[in-house]
Order: sequence, then structure tokens, then C-alpha cells
Amino acid sequence: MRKLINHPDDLAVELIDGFVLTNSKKVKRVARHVCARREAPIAGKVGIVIGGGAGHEPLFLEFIGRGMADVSVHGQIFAAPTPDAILTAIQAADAGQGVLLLYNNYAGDVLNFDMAQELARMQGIEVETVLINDEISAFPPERAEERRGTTADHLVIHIAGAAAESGASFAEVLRITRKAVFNSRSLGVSTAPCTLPETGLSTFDLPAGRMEFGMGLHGEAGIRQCALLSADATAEQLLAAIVADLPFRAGDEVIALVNGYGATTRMEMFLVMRRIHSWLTEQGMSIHASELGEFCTAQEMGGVSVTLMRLDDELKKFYDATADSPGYRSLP
Amino acid sequence: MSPADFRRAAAAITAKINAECLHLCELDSAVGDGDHGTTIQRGTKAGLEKLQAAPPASLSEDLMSFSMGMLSSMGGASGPIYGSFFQGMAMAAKGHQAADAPLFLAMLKQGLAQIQKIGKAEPGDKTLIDSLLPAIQAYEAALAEGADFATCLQRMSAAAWQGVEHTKTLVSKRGRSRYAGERGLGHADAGATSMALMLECLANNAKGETSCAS
Repeated sequence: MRKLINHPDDLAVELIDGFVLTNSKKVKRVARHVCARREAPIAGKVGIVIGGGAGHEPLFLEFIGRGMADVSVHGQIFAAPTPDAILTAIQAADAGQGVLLLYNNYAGDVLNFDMAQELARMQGIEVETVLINDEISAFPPERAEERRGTTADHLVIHIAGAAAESGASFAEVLRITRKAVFNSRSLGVSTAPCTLPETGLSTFDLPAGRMEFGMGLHGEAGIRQCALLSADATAEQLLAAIVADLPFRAGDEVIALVNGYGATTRMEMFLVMRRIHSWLTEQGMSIHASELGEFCTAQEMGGVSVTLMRLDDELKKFYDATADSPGYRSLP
Repeated sequence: MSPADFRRAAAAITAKINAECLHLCELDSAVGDGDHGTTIQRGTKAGLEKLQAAPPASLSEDLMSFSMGMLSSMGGASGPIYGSFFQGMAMAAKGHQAADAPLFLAMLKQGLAQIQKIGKAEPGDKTLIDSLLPAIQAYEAALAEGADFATCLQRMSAAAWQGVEHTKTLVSKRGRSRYAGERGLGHADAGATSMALMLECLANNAKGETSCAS
């Protein structure tokens, strides 16, 4: 074990404590596993609840704020939050305009969020769910509903949040959010495993000098292992698969995102980004915005993921609006 | 099985899971994220605390307390799944002071039905169903042969462990481990294993006998 922790049982709650203390002017603690932006619930605005397992910070915990989500519910390390915590989150986001549950498509999350959604509806709160499923490797396009959510998260949350902030109706926010999800595709490559802080066990084996495409955020097996490639070749292989999947075409305008998984240097991310720009330009696509950093981590996993989101005028308008959360900030 | 028997079984389950925690994590780590042991440890501990904090109650209420304790503490996929198992048992036990052999079968079946309602796993998918279903079938067969409660429970427990062995030959089709595909061959399923541990503790305590043997 090489991590600074206290008692393993208290990890999630203590990291949330630290997050709230760090950002006390902007966020408030609603319950042990639930945080909200200070103003929530906001009159006249559709509420947005995000959440999932802990250990992927800044995801989801830190993406609450203007033009982002209202409430985040943060589970135990790599484990979905519980139905009672999610219900508390829904209540904290509800201003009578409907509440959107926006989270990653994993079995555990769906089970717990669905239970909470039922409970909230029984209390008369209007609740709908949009699942994020941008990761392309685990299932072919015709089984997209089984795909898991990964590093498109903060982009989708921002577009949903900006739409809600603009005063859009519940139906409109749902439609725009679904469109953002539909136009997002991600694929990653891992260069080193991570360990679970509770046990010190590695989530998978990956010898030095090897890399694995499609490795999940919790050590889910990927699709292909090979000898470590150059930054350029890695970018090319990730892009080729991503572009073929939607498919993205010449003339498309995109957001290009390089995400570090936790142990990746910015040096590596910049090298990958460099090749993304030249590759997409060669393909005749234009890059509306580039994002680089740690948005969705898997503890100290090594490697990067690449996300592309195809924009139309509507998505571009909301993407360009203000996002101001502890974990993601973008000012027009 | 009286309410007191179930409370003793719940304590035995909690102790057993606590002892096997790291082993369950290692099984999960082979194909998943390696947190099954700690998740189920947290759940059984919370379930037992909730149960012990509650005043003496009916068998159904006690099962429900244990279920709610697990559900509100575990998260992940396991929380709703294991919570549903005990919830189903509670539903079938409603209105009965204690469970005899036929009622215990009805409780097991309702527990399985609740899991399948939310989890949608089929036999052979390499999940806890692969120890729970053969265990219930063995119990039912023993009951049909006219065996007494103790024998039915014993057969149930043995069949659960055979089910665990069988999961080593299966390729996962559910949960995170399904991404591992054939890499999971040779490893017992963590969920099937924890379910067998629970069934074993239920079996050893349902008739007011000795606590869970280790």
C-alpha cells in the first residue's frame, strides 16, 4: 500500500469532508454521501443529480456548480451509492421543475438509482434518467445500451447543466442531454494498474512495457493487450476506433478531450493531444475546443482516454456557456 | 427457524463474512474490481447492527431489518441484490411466528425471485444464482423425499458449495466480471461464494443448533 488513508471504512466520507471544507463557499453537505451547490434547489430550474462510486475524483463529486449539476451523491470506493442517499440527493435538487438523474451505465448504479427514482416518484417528484454510455470497446454499436460511461461525463453534465441554467423545460433538458450523450465516444488505454485503497489489492495485472486498450475504470478487462506504443501511435489507434464508431466524418466539429487516469503525466497527455490535432485535421474535422487533464480517474491507474463529442449549433451554445464547479471550470 | 434463530444466523453470517473478507476480495479481483469482500462485510455488519438495535420482533420484521441494513450501507450492485434476497425471505415469512421446513423453502424461493426481478441473471451466468439455485433445488428435493428440516438444510448447504465449484467452469455474463470473459475461467465467482457462506450459516442456525462451523 502506498496511500495516505485513515480507516478504510471511512475513506469515502472523509474525502467528502475534505472536499466540502476546501470548497465551503460554493458547496454544502446535505448528508454523509450527498453534496450540493450552495444555492440548490434553485427555483424555476430543472434539478440535476449526478453520482456514482468514489475513487474517480473529480468525477462525480466535484462537478456541482453553475452550469453543472446541483447535487452529487458519492458512494463508497468504486461502488454505487445507496438508494436512501440517492433519494436524499433527489430531494435536495428538486425545485418542482423535474429532476434529471445523470450517471454512468453500470449495473450497480442502475439498480440503486432506479430504486431511488421509484421512491422519489412515490413522493410526487418528477424524475427521469439519462445514462451515459460513451465507452466503445466493451460492446458493438448495436448493443450501445450495454456500454458503460467514462470520460465524456463532465462534458455531458456541463451541457445538461447549461441547458437547465438557461431555463429550458424538463423535456428540453432531457432531449439536449440525450443528444450530448449520443454524440460522445471514448476509448482509453491503460499502462499501469491501480490498487484498491481498502485492500491494497491490484485491480488487474499489467506487466511493465505492456498496454491494454479498453481497460475499464475499475479494472474491467479490456479488448486488446500489446507492447507499449508511442504516444503518436496510441493516439492514432484510439482515434481510428472512436471515429469509426459514431461515425465522425470530414466536416464535423468536435470537442477533443484527453483524460489522464491518475498516474499519467501532463507531458504524456500533451503528446497525445498534439497527435489528435494533426490526425483530426488530416481527416477534415475541426476542433471547436480541446480539453486536457484529469476529469475521470481510476486511482493511480496509468494511461489516457480520448473522448470526442460531435457538436451542432445547440450543443455548441450550451458547451460555450459558463461552467463553474470545483472540478471543472470553463468561462466564456 | 424462530426470530432468535435468525438473529443467531445473522451474527454467524457477519462473523463468517468478516473472516472470509480478503478471500472474497481476491476472488473478485481476478475478474472485477476486488471489492466484493469489503462491500459485503460492510453490509452484513450494518445489517446485524440494525437487527440488534431493533426491539424483539417477528421473523419477517427481523429479516427486513437485516435487509434494510444491507441495502442502506453497501451500494454497488451487491446492495440491492443481497438486500432483495433477505427482503424476499421476509415477504414469504410474513404472518408466521417461525419457519418450518416447507415455509423455509417458500422463503428461499421468494428470496431468489426478488433477486431475479432486479438482477435478471440466469443460471450459468456465473453469479450468486449459481450457488443459490442448486441449493434451493437440493432443499426442495430433500423435502419431497420426506427428509427432516435438518437434513434439508444440510443438503442445501452442500449443494451451494457444489454450485460454487461449478462456477469455476463458467464464463461470466453479468456484472463487471463479464468483461473478463474467458479470463475468469478457473476462478470461483465471488458472489456465489458469499451466498454459499450465508446459506451455510442459515443452515447451521435455522434449527437452533450450533453456530456456524468454520
